[in-house]
Amino acid sequence: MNINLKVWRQKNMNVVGSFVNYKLSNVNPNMSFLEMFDMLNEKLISQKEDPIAFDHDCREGICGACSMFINGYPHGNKHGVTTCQLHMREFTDNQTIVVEPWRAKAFPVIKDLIVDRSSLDRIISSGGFVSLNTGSARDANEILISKEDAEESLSAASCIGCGACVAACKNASAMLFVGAKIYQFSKLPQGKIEEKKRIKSMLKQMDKENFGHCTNTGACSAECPKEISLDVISSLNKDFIKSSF
Amino acid sequence: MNTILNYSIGRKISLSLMGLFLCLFLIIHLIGNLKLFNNDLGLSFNQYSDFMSNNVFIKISSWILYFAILYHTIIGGYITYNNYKSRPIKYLIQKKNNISISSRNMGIAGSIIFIFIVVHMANFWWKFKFGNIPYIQYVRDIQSGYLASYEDVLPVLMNKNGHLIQNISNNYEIIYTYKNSYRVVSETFKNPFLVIFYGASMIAMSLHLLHGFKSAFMTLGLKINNLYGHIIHLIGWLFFGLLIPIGFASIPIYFYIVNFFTK
Repeated sequence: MNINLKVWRQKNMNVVGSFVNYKLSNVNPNMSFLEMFDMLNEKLISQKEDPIAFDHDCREGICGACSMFINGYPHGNKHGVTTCQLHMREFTDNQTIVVEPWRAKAFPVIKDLIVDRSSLDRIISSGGFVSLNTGSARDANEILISKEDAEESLSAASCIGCGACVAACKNASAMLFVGAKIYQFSKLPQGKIEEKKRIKSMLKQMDKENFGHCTNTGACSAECPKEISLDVISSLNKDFIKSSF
Repeated sequence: MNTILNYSIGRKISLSLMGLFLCLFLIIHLIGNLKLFNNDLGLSFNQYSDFMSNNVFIKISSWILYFAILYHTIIGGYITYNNYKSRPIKYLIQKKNNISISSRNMGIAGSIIFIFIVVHMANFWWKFKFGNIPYIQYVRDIQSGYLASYEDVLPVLMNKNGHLIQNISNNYEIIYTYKNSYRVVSETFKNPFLVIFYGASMIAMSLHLLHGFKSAFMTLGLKINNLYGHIIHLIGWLFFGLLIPIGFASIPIYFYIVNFFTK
């Protein structure tokens, strides 16, 4: 199949970028979107042009590195997948595909499609420690946790920190990310000990990083490759109110 | 309190509390205004109007209401401006992905509502308070209970607050004299542009509340994907998205049609 690409090119953080059009022929429909980009880059390198910089790592949908905004959707218009799991068969022959980096004040573009997502890391580190005692292995049933709580905690913990929620949100809000990161601990007895402190400091850091406010539109949850529920935001709101008294 | 407002969530919580207070006001305001539809030549509406402008409790509540409107507008505007700033370069293409029109345009709908409130208060609140409003005298027959007659009068028996007035009762009839607020309403809605503006504003209010009512509860910690969430969603949709805006919009439309045919 042949495709037309319209890709955001930006030399570095300090210059203004622009869209550049590329044509690519003989694309295998079974290629992943990233493999198609590899193919394009090989072509660019053979033409002695600067290849397109893009983030990628595991290429199996668990690292959250591949951050591309494809035709108006983070990770493309396929539910519950990252860009590496998006295949060219989802597109039609001769389709024009627009590829943009995540756009948010908190995610400055480093080069081309790569954005600096360390703002999310700083939110995580502001959360501080969790009181888990080290030493010899403890009995698994020493602290009882209900099946439901364990499941809910784990489904929040499946967040890979890719930033698609921020990219999809009209306000570039990181509430789904922060909600998931707080929820995974709030559901477990070990996480209750530092809960108040964790909520306050992570939210303070979130505001400092210039993320927007949440409007509860649900765009984040709809675009999340790990399908994290919007309820983590409501739960965060509730925990914030509780932690204020 | 000050520390809570330093958090983005805290600001949103204060915004949602004020919003829900305004929702409560809408219910009360609509119930009162439905007296305009009573077929009694405006007597019950004029009585209601007189009660509203003289009751101390209502006076205090109205100051809280003005504060809530201003707070909701200012903080809402501040939040919307900040949200806009948090994405300095917009996407070339951004698909909406089933995200409702109402949730995407809270700021725009809210701004229309604020303009509406200013126009609405200039039209009625200002006129009721400072305008020269005609007075009307009703005479009710005690035996039958029906209104025997009514006539426009000069305000001769005003009390010192400048309001009304008198309920004189003798053996066979009661005489009431009131400021004729009903007539002010009726006259105002002769203007077709105003009727259209009111209708359009109620559409904006419907859009604002379709998302706003539910979202306020979510900001206060309600999970939307369970039974309570669905109930709140339904109440928001049915009452605040549909019935209340229709109820308000029906008033100018009703008066416009009535005036049109009695001309």
